[in-house]
Amino acid sequence: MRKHRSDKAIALMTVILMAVSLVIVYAIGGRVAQAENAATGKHYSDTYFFFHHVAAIGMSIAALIAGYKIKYEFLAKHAKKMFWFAAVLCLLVTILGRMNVGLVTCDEGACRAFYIPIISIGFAPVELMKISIALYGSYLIRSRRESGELGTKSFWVPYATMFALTAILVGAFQKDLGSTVVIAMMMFCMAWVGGIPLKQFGVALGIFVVIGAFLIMTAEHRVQRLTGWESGDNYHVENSLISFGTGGLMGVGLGNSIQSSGYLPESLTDSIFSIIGETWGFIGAGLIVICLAVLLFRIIRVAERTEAQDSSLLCVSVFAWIISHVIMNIGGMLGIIPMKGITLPFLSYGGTSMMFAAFAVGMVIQISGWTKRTNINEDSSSRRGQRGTRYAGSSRRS
Amino acid sequence: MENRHWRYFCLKLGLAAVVVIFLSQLFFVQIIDHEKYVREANSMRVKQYELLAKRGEVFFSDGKGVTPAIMNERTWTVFVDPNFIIKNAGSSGVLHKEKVQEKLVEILGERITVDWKDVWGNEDSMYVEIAKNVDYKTVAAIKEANLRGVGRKETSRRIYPAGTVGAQLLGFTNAEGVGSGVEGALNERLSGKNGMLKTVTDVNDIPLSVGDENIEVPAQNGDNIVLTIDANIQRNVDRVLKNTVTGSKGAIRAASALVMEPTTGKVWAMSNYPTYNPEEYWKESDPNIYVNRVAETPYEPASVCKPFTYAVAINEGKLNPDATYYNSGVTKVDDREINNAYGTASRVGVITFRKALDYSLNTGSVEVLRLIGGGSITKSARTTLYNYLHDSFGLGQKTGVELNEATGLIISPENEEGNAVRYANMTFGQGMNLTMLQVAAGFSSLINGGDYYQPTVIAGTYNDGKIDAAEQKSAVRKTISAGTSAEMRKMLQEVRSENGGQNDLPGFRVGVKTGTAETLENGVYTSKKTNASALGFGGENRDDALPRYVVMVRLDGNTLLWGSQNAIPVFTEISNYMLQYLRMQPK
Repeated sequence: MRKHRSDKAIALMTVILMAVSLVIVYAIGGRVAQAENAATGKHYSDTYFFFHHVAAIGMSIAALIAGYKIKYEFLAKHAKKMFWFAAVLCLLVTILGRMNVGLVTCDEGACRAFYIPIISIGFAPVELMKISIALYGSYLIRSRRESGELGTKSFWVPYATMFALTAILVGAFQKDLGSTVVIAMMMFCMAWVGGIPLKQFGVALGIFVVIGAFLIMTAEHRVQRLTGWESGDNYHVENSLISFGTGGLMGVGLGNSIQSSGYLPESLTDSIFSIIGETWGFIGAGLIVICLAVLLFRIIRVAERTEAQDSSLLCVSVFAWIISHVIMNIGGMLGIIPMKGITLPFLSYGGTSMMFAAFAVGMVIQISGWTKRTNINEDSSSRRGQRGTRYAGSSRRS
Repeated sequence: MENRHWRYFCLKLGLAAVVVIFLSQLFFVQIIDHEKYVREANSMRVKQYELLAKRGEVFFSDGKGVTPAIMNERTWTVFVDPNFIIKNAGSSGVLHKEKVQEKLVEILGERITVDWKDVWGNEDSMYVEIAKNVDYKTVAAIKEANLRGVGRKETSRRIYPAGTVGAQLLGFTNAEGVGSGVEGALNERLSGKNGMLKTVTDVNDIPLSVGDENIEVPAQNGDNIVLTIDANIQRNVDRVLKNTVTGSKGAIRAASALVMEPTTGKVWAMSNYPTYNPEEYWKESDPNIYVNRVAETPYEPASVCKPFTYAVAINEGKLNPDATYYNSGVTKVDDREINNAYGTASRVGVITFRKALDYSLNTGSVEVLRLIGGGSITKSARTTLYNYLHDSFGLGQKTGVELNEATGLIISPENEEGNAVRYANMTFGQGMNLTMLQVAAGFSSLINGGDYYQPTVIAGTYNDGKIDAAEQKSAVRKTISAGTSAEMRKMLQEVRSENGGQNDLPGFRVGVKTGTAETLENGVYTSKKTNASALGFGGENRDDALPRYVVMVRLDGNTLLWGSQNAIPVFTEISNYMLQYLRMQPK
């Protein structure tokens, strides 16, 4: 199969979201810095967050291009090693955090990221974990399907081990329920689209629910998060809703956000969508939701039109990755589900989260150049409407 | 792979559901509940602050510029949060209460005004003031000690750089804004007007410039007032009175004095002794010590008022000062006999009215009233006298000075009590209640050519190192003719030659009239305790020169005091000081 033009809409949506995020960070960065300084005695300058965000977005775009350029086969080949590497890093982050050596940032006892002081960049190994699971999970499903072992022990043992390790390293050690849910979503979606028999799928879902309930009960801050939400006495949600509410139809206008002056926690990171709602109102927030929906829809369309099953499933996992972030973040901010403390892809300030998501989207764009739907310039007649027939079951890549 | 299709469809359906749920929730929160959230946000974020106006400062004049009289000083109130300290002791740098107490005692020492048992007694209390009016250096030491749970807030207090000088005149205000002296009477002008700031604030209550709820009404600072009171004169008069009272070995209970410029109404000094320190006014037990008796305590000034009676008669053309009458030492009015004062027995016989004033004979001034009435104390004579005293000279009514003052009392002839006996007494300053300020202001017109000036203590305002002078008020009315006034000056200079004139600095013209008044004790006049007064003027030794100053002295006795013996030396000392201070040319 010949390469054709990639899906430009995916790249466009990603860049639009990044640009919006840059504008918002520029508008509220100074106010957040002042509130932060007053509350903690730090000395952020008014432009600190903006310039750091510019750098983060620059690196994210580089990551997106890298994801687009680096041969997918090369990455898939090393997926297993990558997963183990990520697992070791996850463990290391926990150990270093417990030892209190410094190179790790901890928040309320949850140590999730390395911190490299000289270039002041944080790195959360769980993001690498997501990439490697997307790659290795899709490889596993494809190879077991080819050998007819999908749904057997030789599939479930490595697949479940991968998740169990994640649940222990990320969920239990790092107390990061949000990321655990994201990875679970990725694995479920891959398994779902990958054709796991429904009965097995149901059993897996059941086990997951039990483990999930166990994790929630064992971590106090998660219980609090739940009860806090239930009693409606959640400062974060209240202020998030005030942000949206005061925004109204058109918003208070760029630079006029008041909630970012310290009322709304995490204005730049987790809560940035609330600030968008305050700044540009229902119109702005609605457009962002639509932007995200278009991005997600285009990703799933690429998945659908890609013949090679591993690449297709990789797209599905990226879809699951992004949509679970979106659901948990926006759902939390709108008070629909409990707050998770998770970033909104391409919008939240800085960090490794945006870089890895951009890399993943870069891979999807790479794959979008190999779909069968749009290769109308091939000398064969148009294959419109022939989806899933001619190349069905084929794993061959040309 | 045929089942892959519907599995994709499920994901798309999920995506669509998420979009629909999010958009509808956004719609509810942002459009339907918009108003509710705006109200919620405002109640949380909009704060109203009072912008405090700076209280105006008060200055004395001092001939060249100004001298600070009442200034603002930054001070601090130190407080502790027992609840915080007891709860958090031992963690994150919070010391135990014993340690906190020890450190505070070390730094503040005597300034601590509370019992430590009360401070730690109530664990729920979060704010206990432990020291007030703490100076900058001390509060800096507290800051340095970095004690958590100990706070300090800036306040301001009034300081009096000249100490007790002019204490009753300057006065003070208490926490409720009620007070005495300039501080009390000019409170509104000094206070200014607090402003208001309604603003959206950030979470740390720092005002933000965004939002449309912001209203700012700036504070209007109080006026910095320059008094006509001259620091040098005031200080000197204060000193003279202090020496007089303390040197009297208890004979003099209290002394007051007033110095003013007769040609403008400007008051140069208002002094009272005993006095107090206005910075620590609360230490005084007797509130009478705060009273500016010059303006607030009326009394019967006695013979210092005789010149008014004479001036009325001369101005009405009823009296030739060189005419004579027979002084028998006593005169009968209705059923009462009016005597001359003690020690005037030798003056019995035919005597000129001029001499009667020199010797301060009561019979003389009663006789003058008879002359006004054409031979007897008729109602018309009384009405004439009343009109002059009350309406022209302003006795028995408020002068309008910018201070608290008493009205005093002169009984009108229309009143039943305004009979001949009373009016006979009034000719020599008894039977009416007047403040020194009223008498001195009326007297000023009596010797300045007949122009009544409303007395004033405000010279202007002081801003950016410059005096913004108040408008010079012109005379409010004519009391007597210039000729009568000139005659009165001459007569009073003659009186002075009999009353301490030999002690005047040579080459000036000084006039005076003394007074000795019996005082009321339990409603009955007693001659065991008297008030002694002296009222006079001084100026250059030229016929065309008007007097430059008026001095009035009042001494309240525990025993028998005499105007000529006790008040005259005080007058002389102040008068001689004025002659020099005003740099007049002797001739």
